[in-house]
Amino acid sequence: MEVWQEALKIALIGTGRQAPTSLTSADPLNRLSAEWNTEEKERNLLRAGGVLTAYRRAGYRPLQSGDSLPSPAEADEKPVVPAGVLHDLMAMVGGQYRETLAEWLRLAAERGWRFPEEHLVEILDFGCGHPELRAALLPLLGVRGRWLAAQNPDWHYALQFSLFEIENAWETETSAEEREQTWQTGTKEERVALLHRLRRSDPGAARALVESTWKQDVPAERAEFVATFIAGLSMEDEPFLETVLDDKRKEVRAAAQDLLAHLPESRYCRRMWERLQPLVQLQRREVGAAKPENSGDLWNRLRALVTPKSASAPDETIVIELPQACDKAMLRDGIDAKSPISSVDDKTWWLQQMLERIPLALWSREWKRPPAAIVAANRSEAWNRTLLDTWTRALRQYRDPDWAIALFAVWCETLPHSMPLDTLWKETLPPDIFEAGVLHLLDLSGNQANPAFALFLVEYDRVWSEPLAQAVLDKMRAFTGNTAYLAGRLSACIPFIPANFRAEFFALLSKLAENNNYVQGQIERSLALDAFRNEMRSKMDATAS
Amino acid sequence: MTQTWTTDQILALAPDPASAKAGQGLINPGKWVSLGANEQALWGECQGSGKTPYQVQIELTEPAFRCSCPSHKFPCKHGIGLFLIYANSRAAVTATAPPDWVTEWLNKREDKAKKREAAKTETEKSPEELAKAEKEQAKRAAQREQKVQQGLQDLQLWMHDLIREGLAAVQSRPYKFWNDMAGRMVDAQAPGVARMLREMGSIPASGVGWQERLLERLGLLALLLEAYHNLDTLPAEVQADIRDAIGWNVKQESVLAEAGVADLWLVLGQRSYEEERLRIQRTWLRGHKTGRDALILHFTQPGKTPENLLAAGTCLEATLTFFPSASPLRALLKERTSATLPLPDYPAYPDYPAMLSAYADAVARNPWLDTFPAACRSVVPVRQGEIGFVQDGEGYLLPLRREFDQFWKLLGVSGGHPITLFGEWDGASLLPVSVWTSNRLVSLA
Repeated sequence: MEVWQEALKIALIGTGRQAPTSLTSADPLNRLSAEWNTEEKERNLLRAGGVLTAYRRAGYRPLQSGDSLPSPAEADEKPVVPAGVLHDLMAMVGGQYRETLAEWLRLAAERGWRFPEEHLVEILDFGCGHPELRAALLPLLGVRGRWLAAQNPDWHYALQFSLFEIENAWETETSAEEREQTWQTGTKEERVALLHRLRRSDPGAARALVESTWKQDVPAERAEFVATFIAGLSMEDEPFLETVLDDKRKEVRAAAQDLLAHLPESRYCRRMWERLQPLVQLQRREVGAAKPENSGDLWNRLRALVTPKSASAPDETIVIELPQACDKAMLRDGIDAKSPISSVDDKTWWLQQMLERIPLALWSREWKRPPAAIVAANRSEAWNRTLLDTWTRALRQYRDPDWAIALFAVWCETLPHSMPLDTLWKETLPPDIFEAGVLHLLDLSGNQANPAFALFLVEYDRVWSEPLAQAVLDKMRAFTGNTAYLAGRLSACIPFIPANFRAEFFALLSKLAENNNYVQGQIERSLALDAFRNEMRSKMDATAS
Repeated sequence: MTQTWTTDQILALAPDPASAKAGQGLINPGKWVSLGANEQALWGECQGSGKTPYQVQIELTEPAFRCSCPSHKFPCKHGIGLFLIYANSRAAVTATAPPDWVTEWLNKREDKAKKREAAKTETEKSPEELAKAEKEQAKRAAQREQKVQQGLQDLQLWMHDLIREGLAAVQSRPYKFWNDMAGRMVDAQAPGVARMLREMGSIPASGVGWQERLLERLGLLALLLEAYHNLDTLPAEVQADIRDAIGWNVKQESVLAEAGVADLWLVLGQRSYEEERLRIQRTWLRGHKTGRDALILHFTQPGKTPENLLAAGTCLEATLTFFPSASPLRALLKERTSATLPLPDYPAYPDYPAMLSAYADAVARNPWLDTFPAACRSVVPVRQGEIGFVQDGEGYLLPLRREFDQFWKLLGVSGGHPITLFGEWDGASLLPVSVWTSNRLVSLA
C-alpha cells in the first residue's frame, strides 16, 4: 500500500515541514489522496490515516510461511497425572509443602504417569530453578514434555534421561547392532542413556563403544561418557582411564581422575599413595596411662574403639609433613597447583587434595589397621582437624561404613559442636549407630546449651526407636534453655515420632513453644505438612490399584 | 451437571492468584469439619483461626458463593477450596439433606429473585414525576453533549498541532503529554477518548513499528471526531457505536428491556485484566443455533468476582440482549434457563479467509471495533525469532499479539499438532485466549 507509506512519511516529518505531495492511487482511495493537498492538510492527513487503517485492517492478508512445520511430538502412551493428585503437585510447585515434592514425584513416576500438557511450562521452569529435583521430574515429562523442552534452550536439561527411566523403561535387551546404530547416529542424550544402561549389564561393551568414537567426539560429550563408567567400574576400565589422563581437556581428565580415585588398585591411586607415604606416617608413641573401661552400651564400646590408649587401639600417632613441590606428574593426576582460598597456603592445599583422592579403604589396607585405629591415631595438634575434615569429605565419595562409624564416633566424642550436621551420617551409618550417637549427643547437651542434637534429628528421616523417642521426651521435659528454638527444630520431626509417643510429644512441643507465636506457627505448619503428606500418600495408594 | 467444572475453571473464579492458592491449600478434606451436597447446593464447615468453623456454601447453578468468614474477597478461599474438593474428590462430599443454615440461605436467594422480578413490574411513577425527571435528564444530557462537543473541538486542534509537528518529534514527548490531554477529555466527559489517548501515550516507546501503530490510532480517533460531527446524518446503530467509543454508557436496564436472543450459548473463552483500578472480565460466547458472537463484560473492584459466573469450556441455555451497534457483540445475560452444561462441540472458522472476511464485514460496519472473536480451526503454533504465529494447513501465518506471554504453554498443549485456537483478532494480530483440543478447553489467559 503505497498510499499508506506515503501518509506515514508525511505524518512522521509533520505537515508543517512537508506539504503533502499529490498522490495517485487506485480506486477507492484516490479520492482521499486528491483531498490531501487542500487547505486543511492536517485534517485531511489524519482522516486519511483513519480510513486507510480501517481499509488495511479489513483487507488483511496473512503472509505465507516459507518454512515447513517442525515435526510434531509423537503420541504419549503414558496416562496423565489424575486431577485429584495433580492439585497436590501444583500446590507444591507453587511453593506450599515443598518438603513432600520429591516423594510425590517418586510415587508418580512409579505409577508411570506423565504431567498434563498445560502444566509443562510451569514444571520445566521449576526444574530450571531446582536442579536437585530434575532427576525426579524427568520420568514424568513424557514424550510431550521432552519435545517441548527441545524447543527451548532453557529447558535442554530435560533432554537427558534419568537413571529411573533407564532402569525402568529401557529394560528391553538390544542387540549389538542396534546399540551400534544408536551409538553412531543417536543424540548425545540417547548415547549417554545407552551407556548408563549398558554399564549395568556389560561394562566392557560400553567402554568399547566409547573408545570406538573417542577421537571424533567433542570434549563435553567425552567427559559425560566417561562419567557413566561409575556404574560397573572395575580394574578392566583402568587402562583406558589412565590414557584419558592425557586428554587435552581438563573436564575430560577430571572425569577420569574421579573414577580412578575409586579404584584402590589403579596406578593412579598407587601414585597418590606413594606421594603421600613420606609425608603422612604412623609413629608409635610411648605407652600411656590406664585405659578406660571397655564395656557397657554400644556407645561406650564405640568410644573405646576410637579413644587412644585403649586396648584395641595401639598407641600411635599420625605425623605429617608438607609436600615441597607440585611436579608435572601431580598436575597430570589432577592436583591443582594454586590454592583457591587465601587462608590455605599452596603446600597445604596440595596435601589436602592428595588426601582426598585416596580411597578410604586404601588407608586401612596399607597401614593394616582398622579405620577406628587410624582415626584414633589422628592426634597431631596442627593437623588433626585437617585430616578429620578431609576424611569426612572423602567419606562422601567412598561411603565406607566402617569408616563412617569411626569418623562419626570421633566427631561425637571430640568435636560434637563442629561436626557436619547433614544427611551424610544418615546415608552412611547403620541406624543403630546413628541413634546411639544421637543419644550420646543428647546426654552431652545438658538442659540449657544450644541443643545440637535437635539439628541432627531433623536430618534423620526414619521413625525413631522407642528409647530414642523416650530420651527426646525426657530432654523436652527437663530443658530450660531456649525452649522455643528446640520446639521449632523438633517440630520438623513430627512424621518420625512413633505413634504411641505422638500425643505426649505434641503436648510437650506446644508447652515448649508457649509465648512464641512464630514457633507456634512453625509447629502448625509442620502439623499441616504432616497431614498433607499423609493425605497425599493415601491418595497415591488409592490410585495404585 | 456440575461434572463439567474443572479445576482450571474453578481457579479462574478466584478473585486473585493469592485466593486461588489459598483455596488450593484447603483441598484436604481433613481441614473440614463437615462436607455435604445435594443437587442444588454444596456446603461445608471449615475450621479457621476462630473458635467456630466458617460456614461455606455454594449454590451450584450459577454458581453463587457465601461464607461466614470475614474476608472481603469474593469468592473467598473457603469457597474456592470447597468447590475444588467437590470437583476433585467427590467421595469426600456426602449427599445429604442440607442443614438449616444452608436451607435458610437458599430460601433467601429464591425470595430475592422473586422480589427482583416483582420490582421490575412495580415502581410506576406518576405522570408529573415522570415528566419532571425526564426534563432534568434531558437537561443533563444536553449539558454533557455540549461539554463533549467543546472537548472534542479542543482535541481536534491539539491533534492538528501534533501532526503539523510530525510524529518523529512527538516521540520525545513524555507520557504526561498524552495523559494531560486524556485528563482534559475526562473533564469533557469523553472517557472513551481519554482511554484512547492513554493507549497512544504508550505507543512511542513500544518498539519497532510504533510510527505505524500511532498513525493508525490517531487516524481512527480523527475519524471518530469527524463522525461525531456528522452524527445526525448517520444510521442509529452507527451513532450508537460512535457514542460508545466516545464514552457514553448505555443504561443496562434499557439494553435488558430489548428483546433478546435465546440460544444455547457456548462459552468459548474468557480473560480478565485490570485497567484503571477495575478488574475487567471478558467472556466470549457463541450461539449454537444462531451462530452469533457475544461478549459479556464484567467490571468489578479488584479482589471481587462478578456475581454471574460463566466458565470457559461450558455452555448454558440463556437469552442475551445486545448493546446497540452496527456490528453488535457486547451483550448482557438477560435470563438463564439452564444450569451449566458441557460443550456439545467447539465452533470455529474453517480457515483464515473465512475468519478474515467475517472480520472485514464487522469492521466495515464499525471501524472502531477493537477486538473480534476469532476461533480458528487446525492451526499450529510456530515461532520465528521472537515472534509467535499460528500457521494453518495452507502455510499461512497469523502473528500473535506482542503482549501474549503464554506461547510456550500454547506450544506444549499443541505439541506441534493442529489445534483449535480461540483468540481476539485486532486487525493485525491475534491474542490467544483458549485452546480446544482432545475435547477439552485449556485457558491461556
